Amino acid sequence: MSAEPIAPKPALRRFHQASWDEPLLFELSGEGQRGVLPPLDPAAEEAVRALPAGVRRERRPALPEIGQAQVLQHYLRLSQETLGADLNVDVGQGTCTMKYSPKVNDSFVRMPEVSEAHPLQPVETVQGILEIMHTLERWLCAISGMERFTFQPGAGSAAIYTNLRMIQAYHADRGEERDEIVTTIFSHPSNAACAATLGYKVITLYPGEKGYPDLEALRSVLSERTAALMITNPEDTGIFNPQIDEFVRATHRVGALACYDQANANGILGITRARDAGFDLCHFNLHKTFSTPHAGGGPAAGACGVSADLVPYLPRPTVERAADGADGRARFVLDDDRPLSVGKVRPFYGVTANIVRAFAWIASLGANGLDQVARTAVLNNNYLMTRLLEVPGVEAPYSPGTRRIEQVRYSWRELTDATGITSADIGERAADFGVHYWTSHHPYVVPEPATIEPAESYTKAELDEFVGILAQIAHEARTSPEVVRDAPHASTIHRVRPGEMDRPETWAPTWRAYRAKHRGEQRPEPERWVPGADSPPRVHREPATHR
Amino acid sequence: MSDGATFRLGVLVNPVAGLGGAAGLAGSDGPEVQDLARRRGGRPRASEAMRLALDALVQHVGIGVRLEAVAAHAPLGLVEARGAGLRTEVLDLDVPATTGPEHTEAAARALAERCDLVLFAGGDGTARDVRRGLGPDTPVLGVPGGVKMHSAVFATSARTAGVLAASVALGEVGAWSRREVVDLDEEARRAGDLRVELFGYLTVPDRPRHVQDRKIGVQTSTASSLASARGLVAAMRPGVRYALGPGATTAAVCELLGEEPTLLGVDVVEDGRIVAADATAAVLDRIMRTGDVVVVSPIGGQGFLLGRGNQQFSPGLLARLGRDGIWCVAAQEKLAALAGAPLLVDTGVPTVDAIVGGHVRCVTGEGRWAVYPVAAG
Amino acid sequence: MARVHPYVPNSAPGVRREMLDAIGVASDEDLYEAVPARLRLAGPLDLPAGIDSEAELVRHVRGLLRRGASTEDFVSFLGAGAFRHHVPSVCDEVNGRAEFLTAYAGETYEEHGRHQALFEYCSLMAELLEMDVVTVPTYDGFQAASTAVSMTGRLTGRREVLVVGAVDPDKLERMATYSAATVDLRPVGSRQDGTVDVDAVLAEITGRTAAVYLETPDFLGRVNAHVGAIARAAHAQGALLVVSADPISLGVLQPPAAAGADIVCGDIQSLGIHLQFGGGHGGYLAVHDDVDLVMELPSRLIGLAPTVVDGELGFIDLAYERTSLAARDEGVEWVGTAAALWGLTAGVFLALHGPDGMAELGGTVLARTRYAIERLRGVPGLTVLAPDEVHFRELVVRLDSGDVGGVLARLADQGILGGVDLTRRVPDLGESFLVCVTELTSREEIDLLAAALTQVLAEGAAA
Repeated sequence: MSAEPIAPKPALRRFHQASWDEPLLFELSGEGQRGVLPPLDPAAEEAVRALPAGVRRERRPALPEIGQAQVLQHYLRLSQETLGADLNVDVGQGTCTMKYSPKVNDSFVRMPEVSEAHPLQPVETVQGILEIMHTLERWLCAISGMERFTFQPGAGSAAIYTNLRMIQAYHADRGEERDEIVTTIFSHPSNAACAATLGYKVITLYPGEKGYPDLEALRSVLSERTAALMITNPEDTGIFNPQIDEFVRATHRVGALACYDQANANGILGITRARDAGFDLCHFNLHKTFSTPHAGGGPAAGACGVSADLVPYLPRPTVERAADGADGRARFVLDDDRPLSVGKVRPFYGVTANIVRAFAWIASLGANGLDQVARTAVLNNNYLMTRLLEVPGVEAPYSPGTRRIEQVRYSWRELTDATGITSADIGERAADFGVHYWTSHHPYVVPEPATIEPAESYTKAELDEFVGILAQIAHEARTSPEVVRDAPHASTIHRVRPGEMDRPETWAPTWRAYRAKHRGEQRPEPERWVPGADSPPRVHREPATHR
Repeated sequence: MSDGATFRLGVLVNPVAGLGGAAGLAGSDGPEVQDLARRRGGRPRASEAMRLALDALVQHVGIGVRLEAVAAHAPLGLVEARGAGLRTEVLDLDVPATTGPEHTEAAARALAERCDLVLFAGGDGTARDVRRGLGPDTPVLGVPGGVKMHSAVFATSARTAGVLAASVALGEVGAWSRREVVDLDEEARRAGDLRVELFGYLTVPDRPRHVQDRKIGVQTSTASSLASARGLVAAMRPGVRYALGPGATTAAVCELLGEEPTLLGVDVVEDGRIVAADATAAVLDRIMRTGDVVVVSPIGGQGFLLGRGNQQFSPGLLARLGRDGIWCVAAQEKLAALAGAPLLVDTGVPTVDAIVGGHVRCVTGEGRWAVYPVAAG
Repeated sequence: MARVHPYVPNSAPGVRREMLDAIGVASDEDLYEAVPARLRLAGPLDLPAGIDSEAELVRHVRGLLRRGASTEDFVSFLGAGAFRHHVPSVCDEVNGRAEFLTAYAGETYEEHGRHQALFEYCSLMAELLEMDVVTVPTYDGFQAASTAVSMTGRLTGRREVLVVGAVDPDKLERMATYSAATVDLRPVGSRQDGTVDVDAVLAEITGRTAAVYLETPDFLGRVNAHVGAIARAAHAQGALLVVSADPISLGVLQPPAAAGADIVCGDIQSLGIHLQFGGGHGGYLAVHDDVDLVMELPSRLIGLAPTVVDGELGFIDLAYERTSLAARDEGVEWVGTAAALWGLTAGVFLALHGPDGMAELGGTVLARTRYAIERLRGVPGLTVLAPDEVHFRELVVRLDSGDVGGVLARLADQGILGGVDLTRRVPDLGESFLVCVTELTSREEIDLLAAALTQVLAEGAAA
């Protein structure tokens, strides 16, 4: 019997995720229930009746009828069943740079000056937002060494697309036909995919034994057909390519542009800059390095930076500083008169709320703070690597003994070969301890991968907790593998049964589809058009689950 | 072949595989070598490997599916199957106490007709024997248990073989692909020469990675093989001759062109037609001109690109065609599966190896290339 | 010495030292050994010192933002792609929850709630649209439309896409450049007032057409009454019909699929997302459950799946291999972090409103639009274009004597944002501006606009 009335906690927390067994919204419906009443114009009904047939909706939509408190309750329960970065030690979502999103910044975006501002208000009435955009642009120029920035893109992939559009416009303007993009297998898939969407041919460099591609390999594919090199540094392995400036020089020698995906910038803020390596374009993810919340998959924000030669092609409008006002205050305007611009990549000017948040984050930290952010993220990363490599079965392929910058891609291959337990199994067991991790982009080059990125928000104790969890699971893999294989046991739901609802004949992307396929529900709607014999043959992409 | 609820698993063990390894011999072929190995204390690894695989299989399958094994008499698999607790049907085959390749082949042939999946334990030699018995279309998976395992038909370990077989039994594996059976010339190897030969293909489930993703259907080998084959066809220029080296992907190229490939030989294609089938080195030396192209694809689990086994591509031919005349075609998935290890080149002539250089450009799709590191084998 | 910043806990000297020791290095400089000296920044970043106290940060940022005003400070008739609809408080409550706001890419286990909420959003939209497949949100309506037209080129192997009705010129440009590798966009059948000459459209549909693209309501607020006829004509030639529709109108307007649309797309900003200076958009794409169409969608699709426990709901990615995340440059277009939280919000919006709420909302918008047309028609010195067409939420006013900029400025002086100047965007309309009314625009406010316009135009005429 212990002397203390309350015993100390065990080394690993006895976590259990909330589990409400909550039905779908549709199953909460009750006839006549109302969640919110919109304003009702006395002429509303008549206005609907007056619509011509064919324009007026024929069938009442089968939306559920639920009371207000019940809708709220449903979604709050679902929120409890969601492990956000605020709740867990979210170092496992490698390359996502999960960090603390300061709540004070959320308070700014709820101000009506942001939330109720219309983008087409007279520019005199939105000077605050414009000044914030202008200042953030100056700050990102300082961080990257680039000449100008745009915040129009909605997130990272959109930023990659925007950079490629500017690259395309740049070469077209010079009458040069360049139809090849060079990228690397470790870079985000969107580097290759956006290029392909725009009609480019894609050449992908694989890493050498050091973890980054060989300079000779790059040189062998650069030619007068190359439009640009799209590269990330450090790559997702965390290894910094020390020849990056030579890569850029080689690219320039053939008249191509060098474009820097700075998704992993967090560890090099204030250490090295895109422009100093010679890059012509770069992009940041404001929801990674600059703290804006990930929102379950967006809205996020992308920032594209360009050198002087590419400024004319920036999406329009840009934010410009005009002559000071009569009161002596700075004045800002939107410049839409940009004939060489690639146009708009999205409606209006960008994800304002995240621009404001990123601005406030940098304002809070300043130059010294950003330096601390980078150094601490790298400290955390290398500390975590030191400790994780002590767990039997964990390896960090490439460049053994080198320090990694922002993250590390580990491999569980040794453990898998010995036990048959895979990286995915381990990740699912991790949910029983209130954490998770992400494996890797596809295709997996590092086998049985786990990409871990601590960034700078978590304490040493939290990092130790994460290591303890993985060590425990690795131990279980060897001693009681069925616990790992059948995990999770303490999460919101249990293991999904694969293979039953993943084929065209069985899949249910909506409740409507489910009712049609699995409950035999008949549809009142007219038959939909199916191409006949005269139609051109459809080009087929086969689902992989075709058996 | 079996009713819906029962999964019939063929269990085949090569009792001498693995013998040579610990004994310091580069393989276990032939009774003299095997005797030598035993005297040096070598132990057969295949049996142990099959036990590990079957244990993992039984654990993973749980109660989801009824499993039944089919095996030949000991030492070809019955003991291992029963040892794993599986209900086992015994093949009606004569099996002597000491078996040879012909017994492995006969057992494989008998299993092919009765099983949903044949699991075999051994090395490249066993894979060759199994291949002769099975034919290229029977679903099969190799449990690594030999000394040489260069064929691309083996799982990464005995346990992962069991896990993958369980996934097949549970119906989780939707994609299969033809993978190369290769073997090293052991005499040459013992004399310091690396010679890899292609012996055919077996149909194996997509790599464990596919299943462990738990995202159903990451791009399958078949799809990405076809993509790379299409990419090569799209890159072919009129009036140029392309000598297609052996491999599943180059065979797919011929099929796309509507031609019948010589599976283990070199076919020369020009303007979409085969102009020389199963060409020998002499024929190639005569008909390939400067500006023509040799097309190779990585074969085997470790990605041999050009070995002394590509006897048809003489060092002289390769030297004459030069760097620009040597193309590679490879599925993106296959390159990724090398897990960072370089492709291997060993023509026997270092200057010719140097022509390929430290990396090779591979067509992976239409308008898609990968640049991959190459090392001397 | 600088204080430890609350965002960077391990910068505290004691714990830093412990960690450096555990790694086995003297300082964090050793951790940057891979970065060559020639690439290292010589000095600190050219940024101001941080405002590290939260109170002073609040003062600074609030002070900056208070230099501006919002639609709350005016009577606003601004639309043109960003709409002021009511955002139910429950929407803000739900999307402000830290769990949803800070989640990202977890699985159906640890982020189960997010999966279910997104599945519910897709399902609610599916009922509104009468289509079985709805994607997780993409960035915005520009992207959704760009993808939709690209899909038709891939599916048919043809290059021509006919564009019908008024489209935001920025959007059309974006769609054209995005899809240029696959299709060519060609506007057809527009009269000078922006209305659609259906017979002219039908005559343009041939065996070369991959698809017809139209918006309803369109950029100028007009509802297309001929979707069915266009659908039939397109299908007769083996072409597809793509329709972009604002879901907030679908409580009262016919869903495009019911008239024969094959791909329906649009923006969900109206469904519970604040204006945010144009920064609050999300796009949707919907198709019938036809495997050919599904396999050409770039976005993720969430499917129901059973678990090992009866009655438990799990969620899986459907046909993941089609996406660029699985297949890089061999995938369909590209996909990335887009607007998931707005999808969740739109789901809450639709759940709160239900079928009756959506009908009342749509009916009120229709009624206010009609009222606005009637009141503004009575103002001397201007014309409401195409007043007999069905309008939803927006209408075009043309000034007889020009100077839209000046008129709007004088209205603004009176606290009225009268509309969006169209003179440079859509020059064919002449000296025009776009007036937007929603359920938040009262009849009194419309009267106010009419009166103010009457006065301003009279002063202008007298001058």
